[in-house]
Amino acid sequence: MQLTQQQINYCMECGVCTGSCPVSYEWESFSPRQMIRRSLDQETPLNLTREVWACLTCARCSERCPVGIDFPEFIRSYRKEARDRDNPPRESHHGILQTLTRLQTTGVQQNRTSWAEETGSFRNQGDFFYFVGCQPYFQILFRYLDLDALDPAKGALKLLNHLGINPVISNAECCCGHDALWTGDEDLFRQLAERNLETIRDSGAHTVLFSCPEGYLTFKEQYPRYFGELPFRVRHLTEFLDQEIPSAGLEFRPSSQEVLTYHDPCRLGRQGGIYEAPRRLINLPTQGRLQEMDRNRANAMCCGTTAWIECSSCSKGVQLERLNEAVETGAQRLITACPKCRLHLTCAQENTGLQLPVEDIYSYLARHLEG
Amino acid sequence: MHTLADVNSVQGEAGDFQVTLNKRPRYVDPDKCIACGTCAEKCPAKMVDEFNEGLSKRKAIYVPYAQAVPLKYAIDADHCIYFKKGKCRACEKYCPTEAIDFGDTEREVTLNAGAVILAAGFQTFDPSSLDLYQYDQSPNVVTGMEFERLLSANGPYQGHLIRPSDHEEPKKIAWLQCVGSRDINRCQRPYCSAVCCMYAVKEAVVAKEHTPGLDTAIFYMDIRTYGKDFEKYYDRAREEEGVRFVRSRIHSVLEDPETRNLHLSYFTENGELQTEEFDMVVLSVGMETTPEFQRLSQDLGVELDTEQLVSTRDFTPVQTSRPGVFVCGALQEPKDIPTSVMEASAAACGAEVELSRARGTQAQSKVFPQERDVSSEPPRIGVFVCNCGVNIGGIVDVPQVAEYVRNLPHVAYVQENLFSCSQDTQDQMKQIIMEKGLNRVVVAACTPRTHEALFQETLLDAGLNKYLFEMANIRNQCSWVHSKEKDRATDKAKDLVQMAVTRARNLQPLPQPTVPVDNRALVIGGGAAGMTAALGLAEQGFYTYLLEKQDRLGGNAGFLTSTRQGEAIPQRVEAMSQQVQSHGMIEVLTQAEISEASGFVGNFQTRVSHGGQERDLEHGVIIISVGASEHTPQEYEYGQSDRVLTHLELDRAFAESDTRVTQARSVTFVQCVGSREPDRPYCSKVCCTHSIKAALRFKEMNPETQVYVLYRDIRTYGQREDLYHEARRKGVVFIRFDLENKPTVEQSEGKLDVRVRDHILQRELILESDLVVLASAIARPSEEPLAQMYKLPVNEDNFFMEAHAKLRPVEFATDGIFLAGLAHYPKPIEESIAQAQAAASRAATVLCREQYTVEGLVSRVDEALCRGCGECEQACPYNAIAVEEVEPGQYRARVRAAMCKGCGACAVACPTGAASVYNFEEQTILNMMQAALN
Repeated sequence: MQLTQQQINYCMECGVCTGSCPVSYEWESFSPRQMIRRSLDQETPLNLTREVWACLTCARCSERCPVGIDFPEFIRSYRKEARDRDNPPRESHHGILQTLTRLQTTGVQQNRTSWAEETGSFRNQGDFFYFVGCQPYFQILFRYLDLDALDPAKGALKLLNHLGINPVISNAECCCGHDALWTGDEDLFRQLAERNLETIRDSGAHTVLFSCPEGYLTFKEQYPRYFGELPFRVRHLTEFLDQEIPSAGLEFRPSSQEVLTYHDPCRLGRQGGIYEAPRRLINLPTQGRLQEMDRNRANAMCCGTTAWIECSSCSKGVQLERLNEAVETGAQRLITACPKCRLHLTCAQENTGLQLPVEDIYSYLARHLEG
Repeated sequence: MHTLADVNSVQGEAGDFQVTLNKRPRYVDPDKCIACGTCAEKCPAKMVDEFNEGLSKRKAIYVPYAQAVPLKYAIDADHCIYFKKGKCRACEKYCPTEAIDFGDTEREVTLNAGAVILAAGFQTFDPSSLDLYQYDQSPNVVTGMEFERLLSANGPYQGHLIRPSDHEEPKKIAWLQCVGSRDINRCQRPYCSAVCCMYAVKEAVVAKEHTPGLDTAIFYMDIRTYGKDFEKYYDRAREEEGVRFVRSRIHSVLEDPETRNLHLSYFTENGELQTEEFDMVVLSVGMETTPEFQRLSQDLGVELDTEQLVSTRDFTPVQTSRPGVFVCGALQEPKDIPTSVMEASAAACGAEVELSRARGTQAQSKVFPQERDVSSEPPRIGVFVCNCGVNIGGIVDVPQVAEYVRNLPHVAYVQENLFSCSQDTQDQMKQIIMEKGLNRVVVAACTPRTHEALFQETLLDAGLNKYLFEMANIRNQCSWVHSKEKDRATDKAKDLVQMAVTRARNLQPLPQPTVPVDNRALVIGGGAAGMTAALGLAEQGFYTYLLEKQDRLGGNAGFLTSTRQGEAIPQRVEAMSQQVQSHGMIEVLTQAEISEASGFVGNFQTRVSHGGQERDLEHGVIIISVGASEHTPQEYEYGQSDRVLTHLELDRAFAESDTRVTQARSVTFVQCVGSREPDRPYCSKVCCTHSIKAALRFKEMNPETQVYVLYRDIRTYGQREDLYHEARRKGVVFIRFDLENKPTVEQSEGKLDVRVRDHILQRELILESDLVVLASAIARPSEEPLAQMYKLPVNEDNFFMEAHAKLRPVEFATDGIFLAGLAHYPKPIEESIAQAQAAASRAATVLCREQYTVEGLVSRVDEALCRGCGECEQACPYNAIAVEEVEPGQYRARVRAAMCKGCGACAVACPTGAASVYNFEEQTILNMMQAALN
């Protein structure tokens, strides 16, 4: 969905985008403003540059753009062409995540539910479908980070069970297609989405809950674009819990005197518009000891890399800046609501002096459940 | 290299020997033979194959086995039809290179040598004389060596485990230990053969892998798995693999004449008679020197001991009685591969010292033409497809493959060869490369492991960078394994060659820079091993820094009394220390501590604090000989009673004529204190011998003294067994216990009551003792700053890990760093000294060079992609990549090319793709896969 020429022409060349861009801070020649200009230039088409892959699509620029240019969408539209013109992205982790995604379109037998059997109760049919996302794969791939990448899902399931909900968790679920879409592979996105829609339809669910902001945003915004109105509600778990917990009477043990800070995931905050629900949830056990980083909510910084491509020294720079900002709040723990943010911000601490535990909001809440 | 050679005489003296050899004829010109095997295929004469222990046949023209060096055929004239009957000459007719020479004759050759090393090896004991084992009568009774061949893929049954009598798979196999070892009654072999326990356990485990469900039982007296990581293997065999271990020496083997099964009867430890039937019996035969060597030793004037093994002294473990003549391996005493390899280098060290002045005088180097710059040329690939005689050509349709390749992009020239490796083909390839202007070369033939270097040299001769070469293995990985599917083999060959061509397209010339070598050495640790290593280097003319943490040299050796053969250790160590300190080429730094280290082979920098000062040392190699220490026992009343001593305390008490020792009338030794237990599962190797020597000393002081040794297995391996015999003879009482039933020690009225359950009498004994001696483990600290600083690996037991347990026992995987002494593994002083000499010898191979050529095929890092996460650093086995702070707060991995082996571990570990190996970039590999799949 390329922006119309008219929209691009709106650009007033004010430079607020480049000034907001976390990549530009690290990579001096990277400039969204120039990229908009260059899109008009036939000599060196944007889709043949490395820059087209370097954008984090974090929307920090478009949030402030005076004429509302959706820069992430602008970049996405060029990525498909870049692929077609033999300028593919550099896949991080030797492309294993992309390979796993492609495999999921083949109906390969997955093991997506054994963690849930050990954690709580779930079912095959029901009103609520819990869309787990890629965490079962992450658990294997990121063992070297010394963490259990399934912590968010485990926490989410425990919380749902405490609310009396035994959600559907399906072995047939596949990748939501977020990364395929944002790296210009629409065919792959479609195949994945079609499989997911079928799986959810078969479950009979009226509401699909997401702990992952990427899955949430993809279902909420992109699926309807490609497939029309969805026959179920799409809700992010922070919103859902924020609404359900007070009436369900769930109690949380006050946490220790630890000070926390919260990192807004781009897809949940700026792009999903959910800022306050996670904060209210964290404060249930924290009781007001949540310290905000200088840049929070719509002004928050990205976790430095997306879609498992182009991870680099630039990503690391973005991440370290964010982590140092967290440390400066005096926080002893960083909470986030995105499993990928957690992995990236943990990985970035390797071989630095930093030792800031990064925990996701669901396992944090589940740890403090009373009873 | 002189093969088929017998030594006639060694005249002269150290520094100037004349060695006369008798060279038997090979009847094959080794310069022409390319080992294609056509001759053996056509040879009609079949005979017994000695390599397969007579279990299969070979031809009269043969190589003994595939790994033979040199890989050249030879005619066995005793069995050749032409030599016997005057006609045949089939080999000559079919040989493609005219290498057969029936006119070859015996020749005498005289060599001048400054030193001689004896490495004549061993033979296994022939059990025919022990008729009770039925070795001659029953085909299903085999020796350990024969069983090795039965298990081997190139053995008589291609690795299919079947028994000789009826070629059926055995279901039950027994191993009988100590056949021709530890026996002074029936075969006059008092010594322990040192390797048989381990080989029997290994054979049992491997046999179980060959035949699932196989029952294996090892009948033994003591299991002697005293080597590094051996005990773990024994534990695994017993507990995980289900190998049965039965402590009983089998008196006789009875064959059932019908089934040819074998009956063994024995008493269990509980005293019950058992009879078991086995399908096969393996005799774990021992080692001995050959009668030929025993005769030769007289001519050489090299002294043998009463056991017909070469005599050496413990402080000169590879020096024979004749100056300038050194010995290594099982000639000197039965021993395993790692120790033999160590001694081989130690013997080389001895020779190097003798010959150091002549170093390099005989060396020649080859000069290559200037390399052509191909950077601006598009790829022009030449492909040479080899027939390898009929090896490839008989299966794969080589013309079809060549035709296929011709049409691939960038292929400028294609040629078929009969034998690509022959000298004339090499000359021709060189001409073609130059005439056709080729800038990449692919040879589709055999394996790069044996032939890559040869073809790379041809490229160099033709003025091309040697990295512009790629090989496709269409023999080992194609024609040999698909010999029954010719069409599909041809298809696969096309794919393999296409992959090689695809890679060749991406190949870039790589530089091989040289770095100068600092020819000084650093030895860390001034114990017996460290001093020996320093002397070994200094005597060869290499300036050596010797660092010692304490204020004196000597290490643990300073606390010991005497060696296995009774040499006084304190005097020898003192003499060694004097020699070291007065040596002009050794600088001793005591009370030294290393604070910082960097660099790589040939160019290390080490910062040392010493006497309150910091010093920066520069050196080309490092030898780590930091030793180990005695474990402090936490049991048996140690620390509660001053009459409970460890080994080192006992030796000191002996030295000081302590009354606790001189007046003791009853002494109990407890073995395996802190060793062979879950926390420290290894055997400390030296304690059995040490306890027995000390027990003998008590008996010498007063034959009436009651001496008990409480043990689990007595491990007086090799000739240490003689001490065990002597102790038994002199009345030392040995009582065995199990880990589950350890003895206890209690103090009672000034005495110590040791309670132990006697396994023969089946009841508890109380040994009233004046003194209890604990054979405490040799242990390494769990934290080792050197390991961090130089990034050296340690094993689970905190001992440093050598590059290869068997073949590179004194070097680390990191070039230029070597290892000796207890830091490697517990060992007696003679082995520490041999290992230190070996380390010195290996280190000298670096120090003697003026410069060091860096491998071109190394890793590199794309700094823009690097996150400085350190995954590569952790993955690298060679300390060749490390994260550095390039700007404040900015970290990047940097490759130290001189240390990199191009293994690619960093590239795999790198999460972003920043690390890769030159000419093995991810895209190159993906392109090759694409080529294979298209």
